[in-house]
Amino acid sequence: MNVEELETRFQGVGKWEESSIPTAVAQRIEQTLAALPERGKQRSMAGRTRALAAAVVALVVVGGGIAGYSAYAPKILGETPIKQAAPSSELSSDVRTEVEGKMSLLAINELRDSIRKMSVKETEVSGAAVSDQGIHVRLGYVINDGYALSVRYSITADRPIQDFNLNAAIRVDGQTVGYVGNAEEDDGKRAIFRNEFSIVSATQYEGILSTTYYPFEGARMQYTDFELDISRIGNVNGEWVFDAEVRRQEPSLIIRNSNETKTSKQGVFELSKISLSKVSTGLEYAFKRFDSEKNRIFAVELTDDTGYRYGGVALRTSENSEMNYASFPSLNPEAKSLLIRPLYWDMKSTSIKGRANVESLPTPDDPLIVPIGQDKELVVTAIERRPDRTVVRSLPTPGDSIGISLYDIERGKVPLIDILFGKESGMVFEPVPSDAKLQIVAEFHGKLVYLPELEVQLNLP
Amino acid sequence: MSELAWKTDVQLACSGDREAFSRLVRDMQGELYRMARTLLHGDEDCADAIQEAIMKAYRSIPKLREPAYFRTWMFRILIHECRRIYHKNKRMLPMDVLPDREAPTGETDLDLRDAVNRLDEPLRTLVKLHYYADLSLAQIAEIMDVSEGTLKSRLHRARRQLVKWLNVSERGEIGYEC
Repeated sequence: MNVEELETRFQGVGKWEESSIPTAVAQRIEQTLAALPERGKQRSMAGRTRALAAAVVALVVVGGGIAGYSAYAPKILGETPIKQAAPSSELSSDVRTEVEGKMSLLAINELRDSIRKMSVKETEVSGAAVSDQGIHVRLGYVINDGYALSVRYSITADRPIQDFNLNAAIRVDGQTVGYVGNAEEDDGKRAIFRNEFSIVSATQYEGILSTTYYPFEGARMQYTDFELDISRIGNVNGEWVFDAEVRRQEPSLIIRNSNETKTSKQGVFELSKISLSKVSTGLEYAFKRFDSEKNRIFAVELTDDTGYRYGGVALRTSENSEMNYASFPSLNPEAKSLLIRPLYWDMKSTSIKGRANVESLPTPDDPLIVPIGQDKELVVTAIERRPDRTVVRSLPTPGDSIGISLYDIERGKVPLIDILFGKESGMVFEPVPSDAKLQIVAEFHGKLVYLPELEVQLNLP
Repeated sequence: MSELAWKTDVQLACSGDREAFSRLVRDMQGELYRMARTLLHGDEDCADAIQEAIMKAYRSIPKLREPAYFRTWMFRILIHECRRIYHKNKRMLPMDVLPDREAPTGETDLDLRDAVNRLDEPLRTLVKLHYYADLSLAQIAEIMDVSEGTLKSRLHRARRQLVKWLNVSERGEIGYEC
């Protein structure tokens, strides 16, 4: 038999006709429709989501390090910390405080250990396995806290894999929420998943796919159907598809700070809750803006006492103390305190820009200087041309919002795919051909003005 | 239902109108059933899949960004549910339990049917939608949210695999897993 004969054989197979639906199925449909809940509660959440979604801010700047994303309406997290049982009310207040403190310490240390193990990929990988083309993929944990998702995987191969990287799509409840590598065209609304991996040997790889910005309301549901569809590993095309039901994990620790309200002439910043999970750090806040300058965009940046930068998120304003939510990467395990820094971006209607061709790869000792004008410049300290990405690193430009673009002179602008924060900061672009002639364009977008009166420092147990 | 009534109901359903949502589901229940029946074996499983799909769609409809795609979106959710139930049954049921109703009306080519069922996902769903439900690759691409090029490549792979298995089967060299 050949393919043509197979086609003929399929033609002989009867198709489903427009037959009537069986009574039992029709009854079940009616029962299901009759049992659908009233929309009241769901509508309030949905309406809020839409209102917020409409106010998406998509600015990407460095220097101050803000990446503005849409922060969707929060699902209010559980009021009781999972790891913290309330000490008996019969205890005296001093003892009670001490017990609470120790329990908080235990909980956060446990969380720190988990994050540390996750970052060095020590967690066990013992889930489902799929093999194709002599490459075997095994899934480890899938953690979803409603705002961030992290997926552990392990790959072994019968033969060495060339140019290891993954192309994959990630779906939640049947909707594509993000891509890894170059699996599909990104429309700018879907989260790009990071793929951090370790090469154990030419035939073994341990990795984590993760995203912190998770623009999909379905992820807040208690249970979600998760699907990972890998279409390419290294230079091998194939299909490695995983399907699992994932329960949303509540944050391991919730730190309340309900009376933390700060005021300045720009507005009132009220911080009501900080939640820490294995995959994200969340701030629940209200920001009432007094400042009416139209060209100012307010944001909040999160750092810690080690200097680790978690990035920045555009602040949403609320007139009646309605709480909003901002999601950042998971806690740096070495952090002893967090610093929440509101600021505004004084956006210029006309920006100034400069460009410089990359004649040789810059180093910290021999950087590439991109003059911008008005005594401003960008100092590029590294350009890493990897098979799966091109990373541009530069010195911070405190107080200035500088946008960086990368051009392949012959082929055009190279799409930005990620921004690295934390210990490894940089702008991540798509990979470029080895013969590509590169050009860096730096654009001054305005001043970043920090608002120390609104800052909140939080000491961790 | 007229096109205008359909569009109005989709808009209403997206803004939270339960009755409008129910009318839409009733209007397409025949299509939902046929789609489920293409991918699953028994009516009980079909009813489960449709029920889950309705509940998920109702829960998620406020975030449907493009109401014009309600039908496609609904099919996508249903296909996802069907695949989940198929996987679950495959894990749970002894393999010698026969489906409570045979696959598509008129289908007598049991070797072909069994071979199709042996395909891995997403090839199996693709073959069933294309050959049994008679959907074009363009329609399937829209429903499954993948490019037509990808589907062509998958279909090519599925055909190649089926030919290989059926040739082996005709020579009597291998029995299907039971």
